[in-house]
Amino acid sequence: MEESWQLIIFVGSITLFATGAVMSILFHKNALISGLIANTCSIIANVGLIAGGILGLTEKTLTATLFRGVFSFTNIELRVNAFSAFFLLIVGVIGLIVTIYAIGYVSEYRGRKSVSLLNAGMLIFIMAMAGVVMAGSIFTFLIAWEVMSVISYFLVIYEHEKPEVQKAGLIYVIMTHIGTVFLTIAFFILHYYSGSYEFQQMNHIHLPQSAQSWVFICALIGFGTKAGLVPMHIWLPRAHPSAPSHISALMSGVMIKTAIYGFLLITMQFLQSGPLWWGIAVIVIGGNTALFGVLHALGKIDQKQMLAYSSIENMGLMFIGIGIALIFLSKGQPLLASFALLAVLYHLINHALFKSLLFMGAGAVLMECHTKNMNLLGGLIRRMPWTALFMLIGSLSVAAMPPMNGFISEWMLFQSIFTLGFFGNSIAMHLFGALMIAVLAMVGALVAFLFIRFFSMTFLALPRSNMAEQAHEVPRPMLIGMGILSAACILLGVIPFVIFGVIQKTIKALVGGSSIPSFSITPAMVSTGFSKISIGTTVLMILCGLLIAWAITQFIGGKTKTIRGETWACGITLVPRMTYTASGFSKPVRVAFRLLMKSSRSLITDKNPRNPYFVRGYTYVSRIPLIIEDFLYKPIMNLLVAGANIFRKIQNGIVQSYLLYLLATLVFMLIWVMGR
Amino acid sequence: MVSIILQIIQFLSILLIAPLLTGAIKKSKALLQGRVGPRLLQPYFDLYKYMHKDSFVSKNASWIFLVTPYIVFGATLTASALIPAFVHQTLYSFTGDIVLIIYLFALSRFFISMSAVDTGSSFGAQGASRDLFISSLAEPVLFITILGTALPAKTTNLSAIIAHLLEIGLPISPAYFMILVAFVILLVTETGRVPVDNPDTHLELTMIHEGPLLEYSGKPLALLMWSAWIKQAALFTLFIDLCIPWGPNVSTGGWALLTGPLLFFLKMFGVGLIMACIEIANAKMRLFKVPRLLAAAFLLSFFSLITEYLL
Repeated sequence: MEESWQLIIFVGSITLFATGAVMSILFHKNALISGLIANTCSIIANVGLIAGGILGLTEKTLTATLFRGVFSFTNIELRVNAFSAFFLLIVGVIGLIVTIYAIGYVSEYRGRKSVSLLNAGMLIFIMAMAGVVMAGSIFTFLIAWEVMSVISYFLVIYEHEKPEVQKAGLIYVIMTHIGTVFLTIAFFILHYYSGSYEFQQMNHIHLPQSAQSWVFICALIGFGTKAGLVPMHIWLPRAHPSAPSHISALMSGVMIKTAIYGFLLITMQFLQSGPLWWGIAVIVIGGNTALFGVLHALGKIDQKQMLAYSSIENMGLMFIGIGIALIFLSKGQPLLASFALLAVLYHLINHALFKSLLFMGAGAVLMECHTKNMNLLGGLIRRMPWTALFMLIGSLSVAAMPPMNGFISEWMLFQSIFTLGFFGNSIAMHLFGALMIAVLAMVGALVAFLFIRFFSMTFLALPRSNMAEQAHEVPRPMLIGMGILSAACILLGVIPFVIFGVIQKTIKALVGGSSIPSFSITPAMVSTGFSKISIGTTVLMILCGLLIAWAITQFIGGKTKTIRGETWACGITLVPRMTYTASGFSKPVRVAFRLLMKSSRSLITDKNPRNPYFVRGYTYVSRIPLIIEDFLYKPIMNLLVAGANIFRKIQNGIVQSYLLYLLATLVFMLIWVMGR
Repeated sequence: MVSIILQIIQFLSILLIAPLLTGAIKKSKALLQGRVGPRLLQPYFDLYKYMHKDSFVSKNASWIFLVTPYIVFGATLTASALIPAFVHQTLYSFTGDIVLIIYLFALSRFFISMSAVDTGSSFGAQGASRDLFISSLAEPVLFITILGTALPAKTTNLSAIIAHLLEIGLPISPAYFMILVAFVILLVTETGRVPVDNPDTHLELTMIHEGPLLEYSGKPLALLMWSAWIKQAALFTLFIDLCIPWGPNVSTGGWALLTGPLLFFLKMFGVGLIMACIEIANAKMRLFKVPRLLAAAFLLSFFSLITEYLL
């Protein structure tokens, strides 16, 4: 009975998304009606996804054939268990909040571009993401995956009149299809051994060792491309900033998470576990990605580019956690693996929340100031107080500051690596764990640096441009959207256990096993030496500290007053030009890490042609090259082009030479046949 | 009951002795340099003076600037309350571990850096930028140094680590001395002392930690200065806990109730004296040479992890 309800909800939501999209386009002449229909449909459908997701958090698996194709492999299958329900919840929650935000945000494009197309695109995009996690067969999955990729491509090139947006879209669509090729290979190896196209038949299948590893490698490349793992990340910092901000929020908040869904599905649900090197490989790639992402984010002054690189960094962190889980699984420690997965999935929720929040904030700033360049912003906390408050909460969360939600997942990640370090008393693991902790600590500190820079350069000090000076607070729907996410960030930090029940069911569906770890200490954890933590107490302690500070200053100190005046600037009046910029703020990092980032700086002197002793001006150029593109993709491209040039000589467009090829082939074939 | 009273005393004594520690370091530095120097109790007088002064706030500053001193004080107090000194438990040791302590210090750094930019002053922003840069290099070293003791104890809870250390006894091995040197480098970095930073200067070119506080005055300044001193005392305590933990066990009662804390404070001022010696024997380092110093500390810690197995 319950299952049929669930099925109705899912099918209804999907239909509603599709109907909303079509109606939105049909009524495009009337912006009001079109927007109303699209938003209503989206809100109801997203609530449906949330409801279905909550219903799906059981031990049962719902499977259904929605549509019978001509061939058995083209059946549209639906499959929802607790694991996919968890992702459905994320799609639904973020989709709902993004829809609310979009009500305000699309007014930015009104009159300039077709808003109804944008709305329709958003609906299809959410639908496709829900489809990916609900898919029950290879065909369904790949169809949903392709729809998701293609529709997000169209959303990325929404502002196609800008040339850089077109380039971003092109690179995105190429990379995502390279990823799909590898996914298809992985799925068809699985099909070959399971003899079925349905996911339900692939659970816990047994593959020969080599086939298993090939599936793993293909899944890592295929899903890693979507997740933005270095070196497959090159599309992400281009595509995410180019899309309209609420689409960026969906892409960074939800879409790249579907890669984690897929990767966990294949490596843990289907293959269960593999050799030790899988875990090591995933951790090393994740660690590299995290460090690379944060360093390059510090080199960017474009807000949304910076946030995109920060997404890469966070995906790196999550893959570190997945790698730890894989290692524990291969060592036959499902409990420790589940704890690592708890960290990963908690971080996944957190990242979905705060990264959507930050992209929404960047969108709000972009809408008011018409620039993403942090060097031209500043002082917005006075013009946009609410946006500033929400962004502060988002920045604190992403920087993993206690008592925000980001801290909890970072703490669990630390604990997981730590356990890896002392696990099994092996010297190699010990040192590997130590190195990874160092990487994680460094990434953590650099992220704090990054988001202090983001927040203070955008919202504090003096406005560095006219646009920033004349900004206003954004419309209410946008504030509501950001407000809900901010509240969630605080709540999930202070009372993390509310969500653990959900994640525990998810992990149970994924790994199985009888005992599932919780955040608080359990008997099983004591023997492995987990530490415990209570954020509620920490918050109370900080509040006590505030009280003590207040009491001390009141009772020991005398009666004093606060005087307002100019900032001291060595005796001259402080003007915006004198304040620190985002580029200046992160300069020490660019200098210290120039070996890794290949950052360079050059001084161009504009000399007076008549008298070289007088200089007309200096130009400083600071450059951070796209190293991966230059050293990995460019050579491959050049090789391809060189190869194509050779083949072009054969295909010269002269009919006679084609006839010659035919004759030569014929002769060759005849000789070959006669030879046999 | 006795232990709870002891824990409260432990917490309060760190809070109250922190300015004296700073005064002692300043005094010993002055004496070593052949100067008379400020009085030993000068930091207390300073605090008292600041608390009676009006506060001057820039027109450009937002509410972030105003709340920062309180949040910093709260976070620092919380972190220091998690570090056991002469009793091996603290009031809050059940809730927090070493990761939380480090992140609480990071939280206060987060707010100080924001308020430094808030006034629009370039000095503040420059100091914040440098401080964040150095701390992002120091943090991995701090983690890996603590790991040398935390990994054998199989926990990140500080009380449990110390209990484990006292149980097995610290092995006096090459690994131990490497950790010791690495930790001293970290102390110098985190408390902002020569050769990394110069605590006695307001010069644009040299200041790191002082820069962000430049715009503060009156009561907020008192809170921020005090927080910085508490942080210093807390870091020294951490060093004593992990590297020189020997001494009478206070929980046995009797004379240990007196000798335990006494020995602890002796160690603390001893560490302070070492800091003073390091400061007068070195010159301030160029900012971009600091990574090399920290890299050395990192390698020392990492080698010590390796030698734990070899020897």
